[in-house]
Amino acid sequence: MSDAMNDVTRSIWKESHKVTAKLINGADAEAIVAVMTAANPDLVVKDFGSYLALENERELVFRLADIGEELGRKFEVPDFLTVLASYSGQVDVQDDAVSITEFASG
Amino acid sequence: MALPITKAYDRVKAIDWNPSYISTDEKYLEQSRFFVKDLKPLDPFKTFIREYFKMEQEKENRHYSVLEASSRLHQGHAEARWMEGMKFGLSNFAFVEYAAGRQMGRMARSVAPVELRQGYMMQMIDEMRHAQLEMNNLRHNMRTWHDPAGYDIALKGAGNNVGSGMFRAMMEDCTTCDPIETAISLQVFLETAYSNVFFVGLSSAAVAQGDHTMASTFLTIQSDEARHMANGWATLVTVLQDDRNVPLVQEVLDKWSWRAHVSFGLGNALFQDYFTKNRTESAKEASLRWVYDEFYGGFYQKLERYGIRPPPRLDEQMAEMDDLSHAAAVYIFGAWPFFYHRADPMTTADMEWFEKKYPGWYSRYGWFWEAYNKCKDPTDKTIILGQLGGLPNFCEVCQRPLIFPTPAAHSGRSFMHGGKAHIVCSPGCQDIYVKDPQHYQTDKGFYDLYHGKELSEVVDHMGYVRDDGETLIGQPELDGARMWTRADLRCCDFVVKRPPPPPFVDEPVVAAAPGGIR
Repeated sequence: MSDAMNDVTRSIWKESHKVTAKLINGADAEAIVAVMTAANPDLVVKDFGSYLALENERELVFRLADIGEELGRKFEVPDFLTVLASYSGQVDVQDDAVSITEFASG
Repeated sequence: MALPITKAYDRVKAIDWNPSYISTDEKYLEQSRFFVKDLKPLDPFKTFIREYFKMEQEKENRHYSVLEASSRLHQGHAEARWMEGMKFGLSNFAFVEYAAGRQMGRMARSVAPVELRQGYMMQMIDEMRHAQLEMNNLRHNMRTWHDPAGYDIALKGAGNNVGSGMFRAMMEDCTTCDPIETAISLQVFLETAYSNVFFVGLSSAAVAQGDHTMASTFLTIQSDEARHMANGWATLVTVLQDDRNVPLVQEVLDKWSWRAHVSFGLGNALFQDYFTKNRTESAKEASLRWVYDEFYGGFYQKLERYGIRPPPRLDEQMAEMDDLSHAAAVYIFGAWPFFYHRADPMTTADMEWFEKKYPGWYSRYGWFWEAYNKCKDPTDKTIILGQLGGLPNFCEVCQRPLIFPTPAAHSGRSFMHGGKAHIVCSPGCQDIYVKDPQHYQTDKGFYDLYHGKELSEVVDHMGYVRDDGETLIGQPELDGARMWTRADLRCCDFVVKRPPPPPFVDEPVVAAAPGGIR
């Protein structure tokens, strides 16, 4: 068996710097999108009806105090994880933020 | 003031202890073949029990208010094609989740590092929650859907149905392999690669069909899976810290890339393309985005830094996406008496959509739907199963019927191993079998139970008959002039027969993983 990858596998096996978060649609998700759009001019938001997909290059940092301010109430890690349906990238929970960053490569 | 999460997490970890009343060997009942001693694991979510339950309670409050509102306000009817299809679809979820809960209990008992154990234990509770959510959704549909027959036997159906065999085999494989392989198979392939496209991707389709309760069930489940995905990544990068684990991990990745494709991947493709009426995106489009771009491109490829190579059959898996759902549909529609829902055959509008999304679809599958539509009326005494020549063989590894990649040119094969003949659906499943044959020794299969029996007897034995003892639960269309009965099946004079084995191959085809691109 050859060690060389065929074209199909090679087309998938490529470096990607995109990270995403999928949020269950609703008031919390809309507030998060408002905060994230203001902080990330290149953020792409896609509405799939039941969920909102946020895409960015390299990182998404969700600052909980900013989201709480947008909502007008306290917003903590469990509140964020209640609406985070899925993500791609490496997640990390910190004291005041949840970040999704691209996996470190080579 | 409460401690910051990061400090509190370190403090909680520090209170882990080794009990004095039991030895390490007695405590860890199973040993993994992976090298895990002295590795430093991750737990990116740093979840505490108190916060965990607070979060889950909030999720439950939000979800069950949707079910309550749906019951109370009679929010209109969802598409019948979807609601009937979910009798089969939803029935399979509960035992899959329950099996995942069992697996996580085993993982928490078998894998030592406290960070991983913490994640596994919460995942065990999550999986039990998911099984309950799905059973409550079944109950909700049974109470509210105009034809509850099928929903009322859903768990039994999942236990004895020939279509559910794929999901049963998948979960039993996950449960009975090495504990680290369990983590990789479940958390990496089933939960990262495929549950996303299923629970999140398909939630859009559920909303488009008007089934908001199902969409809510999907999404509240997947919000837990987000932590499970992190458990999978944490387990992977932990074991990859030891170079001796790299070939062991590669072997598991090679196996489960194919194994997940032929089970969960197949189910998702079928539900997305053939249980929906109001179209969103095709199964192929959804899979390319979620599985092949986000998972293989955005997740799996990042393992290259550890020396991991792409799985050997990635191109074959991608190529199968052109036919996966359509071949599966030939089976589930063609064998409708063996299922417990009313099938809704494809219309002209569906066929036009398929031709647009899968160019050449009609030339490959149009014959089946033309034949199917001539066999719906029980007064004609013709059953599509008879026109197809009966049921196919089933794969001894994944339990798929031997109709893939296409019914006209399937890759099924027979081979000798251990002095016995075996049947598999593909070279990929043959590879898996020969590497671990004792894992796939079968008990009685479908043909051992039913070969030589007349069709109505089989359907009766499986319990797929309505309360009058005569009318079938499964029907070939949503609203026929009258429903099929056991007497109608007897008029078709169909006897279940074990098909002849597929052609023998001499040598196992064990594919090697291709090299990386560095």
